[in-house]
Amino acid sequence: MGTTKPRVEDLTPLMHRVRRLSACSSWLSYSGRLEMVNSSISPILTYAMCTLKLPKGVNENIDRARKQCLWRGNSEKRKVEILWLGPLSYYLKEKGGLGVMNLSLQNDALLMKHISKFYNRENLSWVRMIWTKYYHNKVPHSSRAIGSFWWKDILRLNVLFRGVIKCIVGDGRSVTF
Amino acid sequence: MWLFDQILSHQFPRLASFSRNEGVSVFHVMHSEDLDSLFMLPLSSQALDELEILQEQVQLRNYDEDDIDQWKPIWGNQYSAKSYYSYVFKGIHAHPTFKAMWKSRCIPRIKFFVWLILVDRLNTGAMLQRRHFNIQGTLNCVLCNLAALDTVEHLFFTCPFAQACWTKLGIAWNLNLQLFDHLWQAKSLHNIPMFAEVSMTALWEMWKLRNDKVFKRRQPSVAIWFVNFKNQCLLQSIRFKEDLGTSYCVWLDAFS
Repeated sequence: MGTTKPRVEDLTPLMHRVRRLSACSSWLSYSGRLEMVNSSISPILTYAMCTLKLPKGVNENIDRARKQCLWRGNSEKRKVEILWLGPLSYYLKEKGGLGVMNLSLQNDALLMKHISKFYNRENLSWVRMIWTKYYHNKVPHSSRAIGSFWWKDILRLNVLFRGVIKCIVGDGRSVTF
Repeated sequence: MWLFDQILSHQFPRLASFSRNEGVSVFHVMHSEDLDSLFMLPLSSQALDELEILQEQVQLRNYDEDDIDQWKPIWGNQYSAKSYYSYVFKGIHAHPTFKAMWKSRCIPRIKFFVWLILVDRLNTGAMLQRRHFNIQGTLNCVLCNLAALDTVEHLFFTCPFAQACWTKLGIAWNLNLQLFDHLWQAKSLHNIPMFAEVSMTALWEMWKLRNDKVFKRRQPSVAIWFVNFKNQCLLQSIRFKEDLGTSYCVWLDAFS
């Protein structure tokens, strides 16, 4: 990882891996392909998604690969997808979908883990560093976004985060009055 | 401004208009000595009234400066990516048939096929028509000569062939209801062990017969269907637990 935000080109190895893995799906049945997408293709990205906010272009590229893996079976000639890799297949299985992982949603969910650690002031060196360096006497979500690309990406999620969170005020350093 | 269940600037709009720093932290307010550091003085009389109310409310809260702020998700104590992911889908309600279907002990191939039926995405004749495909042959149901369009509803439930199959098994559907409801209702009405598995296998075998007729020109009949169905059921029964499997096999053997 460098000091600048990784561009789409920097993530091509990731996309190539997904493409290569999805190539063998033409020999599988639909259920086999679904299993493959859910349990071996989507988890490839989990590691990267835990730290990086994947660019939209990467997400789209991988979605296309997964979609073709699931419906077309990677054959040369174009086939009609029975169902777009859209809202319905993203739903969890008991909600009437196929349980295919929604990449951007999962990405947000994983990154919010960092925000949660940060706001709860867990005893980690990066948490202490950011608090003392950037937010001495300041509230993170009401001051200007500063810091590295990584921290800005994560701080951008705090709107979502505060939507699902309730705060119990202690010393009130991280709460606006 | 998140404190005391309500946003304070909405509660005290006039006072808020005098504040120096809108994003000031609770810690800072509690430790500031004079009003000048918080508000642009002098305050108007309405703002002063609001300030008094606010001060009363603040004194009612017990404030402990050695404590640490705790940010807890609304679903529990610990934030986890999984719980956030499923929280997003909380508002979506699906028919319980879906859950029963995925929970059944059939092989995944059959489950996926039944899922396609449930969301109405099976590649039947009606589907080809919906996608504007140029088809030379007929789009009507191939199992009967009623000239009915090849839809999911017709193929598996209202077609005479399908009905003959269901009567053979002793399953009656209440076809006045919607697809989900009559599937769900039949589950409670019939006293058949492993009802979901039996009906799903039956659907699958019907679909295979229909495809044999379309692609291989084989003549379908209820007898062939039943032999296939029974074989498939016996194969599936290996996946069941022993006590369930025996009652299932007994039920299956009752047919001859």
